[in-house]
Amino acid sequence: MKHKVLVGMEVHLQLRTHSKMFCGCPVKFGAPVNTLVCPVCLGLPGSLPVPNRDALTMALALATAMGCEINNLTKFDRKNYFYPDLPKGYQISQYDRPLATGGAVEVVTEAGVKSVRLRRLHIEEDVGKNLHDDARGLSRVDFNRAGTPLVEIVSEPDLASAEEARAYLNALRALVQYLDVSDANMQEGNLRCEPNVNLHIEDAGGVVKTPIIEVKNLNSVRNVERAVKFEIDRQLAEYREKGAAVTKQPRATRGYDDQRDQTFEMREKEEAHDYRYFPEPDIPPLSIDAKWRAEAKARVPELPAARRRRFSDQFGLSAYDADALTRERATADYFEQAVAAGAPPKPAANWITSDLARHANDRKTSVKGLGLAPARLAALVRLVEDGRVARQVASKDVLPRLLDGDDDPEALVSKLGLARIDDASRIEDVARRAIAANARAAADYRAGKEKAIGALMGFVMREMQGKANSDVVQDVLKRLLREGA
Amino acid sequence: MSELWQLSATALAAAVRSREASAVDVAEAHLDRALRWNDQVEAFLHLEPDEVRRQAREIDRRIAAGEDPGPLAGVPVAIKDNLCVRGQPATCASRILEPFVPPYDAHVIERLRVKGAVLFGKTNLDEFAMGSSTENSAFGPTRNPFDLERTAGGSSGGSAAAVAAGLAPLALGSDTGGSIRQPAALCGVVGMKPTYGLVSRYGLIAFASSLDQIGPFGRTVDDAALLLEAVGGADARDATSAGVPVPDLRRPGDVKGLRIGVPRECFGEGLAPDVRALVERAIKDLGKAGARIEEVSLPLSVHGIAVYYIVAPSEASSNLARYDGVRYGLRGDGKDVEEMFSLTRGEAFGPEVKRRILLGTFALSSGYYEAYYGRAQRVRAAMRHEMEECFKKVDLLASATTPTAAFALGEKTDDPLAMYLSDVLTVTAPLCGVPALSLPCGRTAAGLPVGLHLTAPRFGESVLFRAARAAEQMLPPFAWPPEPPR
Amino acid sequence: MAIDPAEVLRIARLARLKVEPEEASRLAKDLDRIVGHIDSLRAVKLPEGAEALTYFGKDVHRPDDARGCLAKDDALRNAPMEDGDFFLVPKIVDKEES
Repeated sequence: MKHKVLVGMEVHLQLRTHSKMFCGCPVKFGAPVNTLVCPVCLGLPGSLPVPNRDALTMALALATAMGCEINNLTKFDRKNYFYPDLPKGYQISQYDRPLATGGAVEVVTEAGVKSVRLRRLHIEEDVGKNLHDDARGLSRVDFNRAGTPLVEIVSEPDLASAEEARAYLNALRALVQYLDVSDANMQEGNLRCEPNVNLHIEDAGGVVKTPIIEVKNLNSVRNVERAVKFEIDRQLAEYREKGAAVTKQPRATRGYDDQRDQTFEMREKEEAHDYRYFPEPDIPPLSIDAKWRAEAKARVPELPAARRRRFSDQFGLSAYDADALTRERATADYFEQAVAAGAPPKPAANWITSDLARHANDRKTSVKGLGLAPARLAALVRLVEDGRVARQVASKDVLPRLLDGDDDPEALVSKLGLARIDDASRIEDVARRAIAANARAAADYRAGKEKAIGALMGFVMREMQGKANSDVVQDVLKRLLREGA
Repeated sequence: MSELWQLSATALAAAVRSREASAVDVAEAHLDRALRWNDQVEAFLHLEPDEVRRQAREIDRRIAAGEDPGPLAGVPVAIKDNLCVRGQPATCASRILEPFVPPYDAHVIERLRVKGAVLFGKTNLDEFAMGSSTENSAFGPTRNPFDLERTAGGSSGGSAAAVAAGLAPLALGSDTGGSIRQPAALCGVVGMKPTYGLVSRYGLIAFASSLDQIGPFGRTVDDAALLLEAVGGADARDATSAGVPVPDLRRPGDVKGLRIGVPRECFGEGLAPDVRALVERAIKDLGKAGARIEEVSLPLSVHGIAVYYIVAPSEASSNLARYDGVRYGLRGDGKDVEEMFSLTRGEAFGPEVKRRILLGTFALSSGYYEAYYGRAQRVRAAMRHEMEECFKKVDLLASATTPTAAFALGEKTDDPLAMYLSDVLTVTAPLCGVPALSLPCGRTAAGLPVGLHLTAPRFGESVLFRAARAAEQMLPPFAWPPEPPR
Repeated sequence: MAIDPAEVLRIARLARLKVEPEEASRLAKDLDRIVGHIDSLRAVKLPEGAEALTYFGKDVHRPDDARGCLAKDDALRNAPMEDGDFFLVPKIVDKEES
């Protein structure tokens, strides 16, 4: 028995516009309940929608970046259903003439690079938020979010594993951050994802296709990966138990319980959704002409994959370092600014991906968010490369102070007396003490064990607070040991 | 000496601006008539005399201070109750919106305030503008001032009756399949539906989005023009607004050389003989005044009712989905939200509204969309094209506005289809997005008004009003209905 | 296409309109007659490649400018049930967190 895994992703991204899709209410996270509303997004009688041009341009830029085919003429349609968070009793979306079709997303996993085909990209409005108040048997509805612009991207079922699903989401997130069209943060709700999973099982000369399961209510990339993995295993197990009988129901929706790491059946609605799509009569169609396409194209910067390759070619960085730097556009920008300010590229890359990344993680921010001016980093890196400060001292003693103040690294080193000590005469005393305090190691070394010098070096470096030039320390120790001091 | 309520809006505005009359006096004259007549006619659902007086006082104050309040200074304008006026109820004559008070003004209301008009009450209509008689109002029908046992027409029956009876010189209505022109014809006043997109729909509580237009009622063609000029023009809040200003509607002119087409399909067997006689005579008079009258044919127009009664209910079924009891309006008692939706809507919508929502939901539903909504839109496109071709040969079309004069209350309420079929002469214009106007062209033997219907190409309001004015000059002048028994 | 009471109830469910059984019969008769008239459209001969009309204009949009909103009190004023911040509705039975 062989099986093929098919995973397709349906992703919704909130666009970073100033105002909502069809009205001028601001798009803001965390505003007081029901304060970002107007007759239009509240669905008051007599209100009318007018589309946000910039939202469309952002969506077009994204479609361009993904190589989609953009429709010359696009229009909106009404998707009709009833729910308390849906103010008009319909959502303005797109049905048969979306903004774009086709295109692809490049996905990188351990196995290599894969191109995932897209089916379509369209734009629509978000709905409000329901909060369940089970104690009082009520629900509370907030319409601040209603009307926020969303882009929906549907992929073909080209993903073949949970890892690929994760990599797809990360690739999308990197892409939209580069384009600056969405924050794409699942925890904040501006990226939502519903994977569709099924298997094609080859068994006893036939192929059985398990039902396509859509998984909802996933709130992190990690949970998407876990849910997909669980589904693949579950569907295999179900087939083993029921055989071809699994195909009775062609599709179903399941939820995900992240405490138990399981998907669960969701109660089927009484009738299948009949959204009664029809063209939105309140909004005339839009022609996406050459001028608008050019405007969208101009908003597409150098994309992550291309930037990765350029970092390797231009700066001689390893693929690993290039990837780590380009995952977030702001970090890649920061790196290039530091290089422009005089930092040697390879060491700068190392500083950013290790020291700065660690501090950023500790302080729950990004590399850029640390607020260390690129020129300052460049100065620090040059100090180390020029041998003026030991790498370890720079990392342990200088950098933290730079992050909390706005000092010039050189001035700081000087003020704190952290400059590297290259003068052998200043090292000699300590070296002698080291040999005296570590007679055993000294004897071992003299007996031919080269490695024994390590303990002596450690002693000297500690005594000198890491400031000594380790090469000079080694030379001095070796000379003294030879001289029999 | 005419009473103030007998003057045209044009004359009233001039009188107020030149201080011959005060806005307060004008308001009081109309309030007096409105409060005396309304019990019999039921034109108004809502009228706040103190609020009217406050507006009038403000106009007078501004004039005394040397300001110019605008071309409609002090003129009372009655407003159909499907238009949003901030702080006043907007019920759409429905139980479901009985408690609703909009927190904003419609675009046309903003325009009226800027032009110095006095907003004069909210008038009765068929519920959600669905109907041709105001018998579908949840609050009782409006009666025809010429015969209180007969309907004033619909859906803008209240506005038409108010103007006909002198309760207000001007009124705003809305027209989707004939809802301004038909009541105008039945009540003996002028009413017109502008080109689709000429007047902003922002603040008009939607019935059928691709058909609805707000339009004026007046007792004269010039008065209707004055009101249209005041409220029309671009509005960025309505994406279907054409973004063009209202053309000049009051330039003097005649009909010499104007080619007027008479569609043969409008003169079929459903047309009552007395209506036909009056309309044919009016058209002949236009010919005598120099117009070239010729017979034309619009073969697809016979499908107008079928197309209209798919497209309008379909759009309405979606437009009325927002009435779910969550954010405004009546809310039914349900143990959960789904039950609440169904009870709210099932109990608070009247039977005609329910019928149309069901019809529209059916026409859009899976498996039926192509056969019904899809087909209707295709036929509609063909009708529009046919109309455009016709207007290459003629400048205007002329016919009767309604097949009969005002019918009795209760006469057609048992047969919805019969009611729908009476719209046959008026639905073509909204389906094609073109402007059309009805003006009185005489009365039947029973004294009931009859309307002449003129249609122009898109944005052809100039030629439409020019011809209407010329016709008006040749036809009997506006006739007042009999005074109500005191 | 005949519309029977069962069909009426199905459509009424889609439209969230409570319809009593007696009502359903009457509505079925009305709707069936109306749809019967509308079915005349099937016979209409349309020119080749007839487009469905839908619009009179094209290319209308607005710049991405944030404007003032309704005051919260105005937003809630017409609400049948609210708590000063939220609109309140009876419990939602098939819960789908949005």
